[in-house]
Amino acid sequence: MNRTTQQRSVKNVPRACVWVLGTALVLQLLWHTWLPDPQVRAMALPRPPPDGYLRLLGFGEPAVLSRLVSLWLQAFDNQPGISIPFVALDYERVTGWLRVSLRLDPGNSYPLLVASHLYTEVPDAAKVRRMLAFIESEFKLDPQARWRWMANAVLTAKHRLGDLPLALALARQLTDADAKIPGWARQMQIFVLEDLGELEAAEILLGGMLSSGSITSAHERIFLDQRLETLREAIAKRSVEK
Amino acid sequence: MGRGIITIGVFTFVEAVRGRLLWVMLALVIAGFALAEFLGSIAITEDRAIQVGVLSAVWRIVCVFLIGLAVISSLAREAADKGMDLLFSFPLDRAAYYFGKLGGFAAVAVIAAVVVAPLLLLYAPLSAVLLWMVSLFCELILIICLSLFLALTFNHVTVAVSGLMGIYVLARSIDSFQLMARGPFFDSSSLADQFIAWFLQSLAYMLPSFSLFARADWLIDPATMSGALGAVVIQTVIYGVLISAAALFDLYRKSL
Repeated sequence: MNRTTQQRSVKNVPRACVWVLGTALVLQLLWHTWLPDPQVRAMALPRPPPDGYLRLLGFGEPAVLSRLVSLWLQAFDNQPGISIPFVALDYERVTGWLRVSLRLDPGNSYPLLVASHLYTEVPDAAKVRRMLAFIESEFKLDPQARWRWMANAVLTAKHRLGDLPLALALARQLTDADAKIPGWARQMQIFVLEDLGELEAAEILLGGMLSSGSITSAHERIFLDQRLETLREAIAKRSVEK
Repeated sequence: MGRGIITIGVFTFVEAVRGRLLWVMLALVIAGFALAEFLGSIAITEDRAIQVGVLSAVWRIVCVFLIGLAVISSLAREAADKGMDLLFSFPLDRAAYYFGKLGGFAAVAVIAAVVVAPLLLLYAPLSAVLLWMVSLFCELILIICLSLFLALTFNHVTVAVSGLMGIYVLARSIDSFQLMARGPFFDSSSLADQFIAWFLQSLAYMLPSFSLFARADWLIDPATMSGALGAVVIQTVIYGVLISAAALFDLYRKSL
């Protein structure tokens, strides 16, 4: 189409057309005044669909879809006109969506990050436990890539829930995992044992760790030696008191 | 003027048929049906709701896109071939040209609304399908009016198509924008927040209420459709007249 720059005068427009235009404009404004305001409707989190359905929607890009699912889930608390607290979400469905996201791309760390840092920050112990169970189950599938989220889960169980047996069970899996996990994460079990008052068990574990040769850093070795010494003194003191 | 409208309307319809628009529609309705059946077959539950929802939503978008594109490209072709200049050199009222075009494409819109009905009847009751069909037809009438207005005003295919898609997406989502602007983070003491909320409200007043039209939830749950048709027809008449008057305003001012 050629762009026409010249226009005829407004006088060429029939008067009826101008009247109809003005009247319709007024009616349109009145119509919208009459219409009710948009209503806020909080949507419940739906169940995650089967993987095949989602892969179809991903158009052959599961890694991209995995991240989009994570972002959508993270933003689900902010729906138009309303903000839903995380604690109000159905955690069974939340973990379902997080699993879907991980299955689409197991290398995506986003689901585990939001699981350990967002969804555990709720004042509902049952929901926090469900999220920790999710992190634990995913850690077992790939300890090498997911140990940091498990370490965070130990801290959450210990400090947020105050559930030392749970923290110990999680820390034990970090220690026993067949993967290259940094020493500080493996040693978490020792500190939880100390908090539980199981000093002898902590001593045995720490002694075994030091004698196995797995601690290669000189500074770390000195620190742990001192820690072992403190443990032995505490055990001796306790036996005297008994 | 009546004869002029009929002649232009018939030729517009014939042009759409010869341009294989109806065949493209038929192919796409079959593809939409196949997609709905496939998704229904892998669904664990609510398979009928998924099928009817997918088919109706996909078809609505396809119709809007195809008919909008057909209108704009038809006017572009006529302008490029000087067909419009030739028509206006005859003793033909410019309004007859506009209404002829509108009538011809409205006939295509009728076919678009009817062709999907037999497939929708597989999943939803007749009353819901009829209401949805009439509502889709009304939506397509507004799309045709908007396309004619944009094509006549901007005289440029890319701008007109972009404008149409922009208006359509905005009209479909303006309710959400309004809710977000007045949501939990709205600060009534902030001038910027007040301005944004006012601007979106004003914008909504100038857009058609497409959120009332051809809703998939009528087909999924027919109990939700009571009283819907009246609002759809009123909005179609008001907005159709408004946009047609605006298009005619520009058409009468167009210099050959």
